Amino acid sequence: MVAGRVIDTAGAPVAGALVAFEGAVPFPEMPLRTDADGRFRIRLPAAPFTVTAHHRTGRAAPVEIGAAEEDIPPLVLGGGAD
Amino acid sequence: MSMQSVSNPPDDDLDIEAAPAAEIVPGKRGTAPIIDSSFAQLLVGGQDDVGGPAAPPVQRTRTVFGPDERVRILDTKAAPWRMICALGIEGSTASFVGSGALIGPKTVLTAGHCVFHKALMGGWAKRITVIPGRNGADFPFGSTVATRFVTLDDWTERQDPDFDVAVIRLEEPIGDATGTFAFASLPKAELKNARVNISGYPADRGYGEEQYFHADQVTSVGPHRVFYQVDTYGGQSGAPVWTYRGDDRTNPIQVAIHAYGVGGATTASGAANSAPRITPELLRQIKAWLAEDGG
Repeated sequence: MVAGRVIDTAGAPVAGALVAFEGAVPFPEMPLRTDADGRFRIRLPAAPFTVTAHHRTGRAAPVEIGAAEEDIPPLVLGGGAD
Repeated sequence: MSMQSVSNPPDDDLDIEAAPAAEIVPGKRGTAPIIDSSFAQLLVGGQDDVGGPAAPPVQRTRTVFGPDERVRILDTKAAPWRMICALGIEGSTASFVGSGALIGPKTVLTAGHCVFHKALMGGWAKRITVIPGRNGADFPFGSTVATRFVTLDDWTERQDPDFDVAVIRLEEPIGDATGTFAFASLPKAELKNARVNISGYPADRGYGEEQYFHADQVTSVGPHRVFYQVDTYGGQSGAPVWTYRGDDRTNPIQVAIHAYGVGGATTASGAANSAPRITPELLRQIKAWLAEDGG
């Protein structure tokens, strides 16, 4: 299980952000929404993934995670919208 | 209450490519006013002639190929855009966004993982909000919450991407107003190099609330999946992959259900996004589901 959090540049959690996962294995194109505390948990296949968060207030730079990682570094939404 | 469909299991001996002719289930125009849309000029159909050697396989993680050529659809009150639905999917521990297409008054065709996924949702979705033709905060045909879903046992038991198909059963006949897609099983010869359209609700542009469109060519056709370099992104799972015959651009024919980005999908033609293909067997199943819904 992989866990992460989406925050803004001030460190505040972002609820309702959409987190997308792109990997080297077949994976649904179905992003999940962060909860009220900006957090998410997801079970990913054992493979590298690129994780990106999207919100009307900005977009987080993609984070690359390895096959065995369980905690994703915070996804920080940039200052501009997509 | 979610429902399960006991479908015929896939017959590996079925010579899908021997199907001599296309079988098309016609769509309906809908009772909503017919609106001319400038976006109709984007629609593609028919086939391209492709020459030259195939590109070597490239493993990629992006689902947008080169420059992002997707276009935001603003005329979502016009067909076919109004038949494409934004989905708000609630699982047991998280919520997701997806896309789907109305194929009957009360039937939305989408990806299997939008209604059932063991790892992502712990099984069946609890409820799905369906918004046809959503355009930001505008819901031109309203919205409805669905709790009845049907998929294939090959999906629920094996999570096989080739059978990642489902329908969402609506309580209200929203498709009467919007109209519905035709859907078809086309032979490989007609799918190969076909120009296809995909429109849905991506997360990166529009946050699952705005419809984005792109069209390109099918690059490869397998027994159960079609592959293409149409630009898509997360949130477009379940979006219709459709084409047109000849010069017609008024009768969209769905031939597959977009489900996957390039991850793992390397083909002789290179990296590609992909969709379960409507085969003759799947067509029969979808028709049965539609009949059960009274469509």
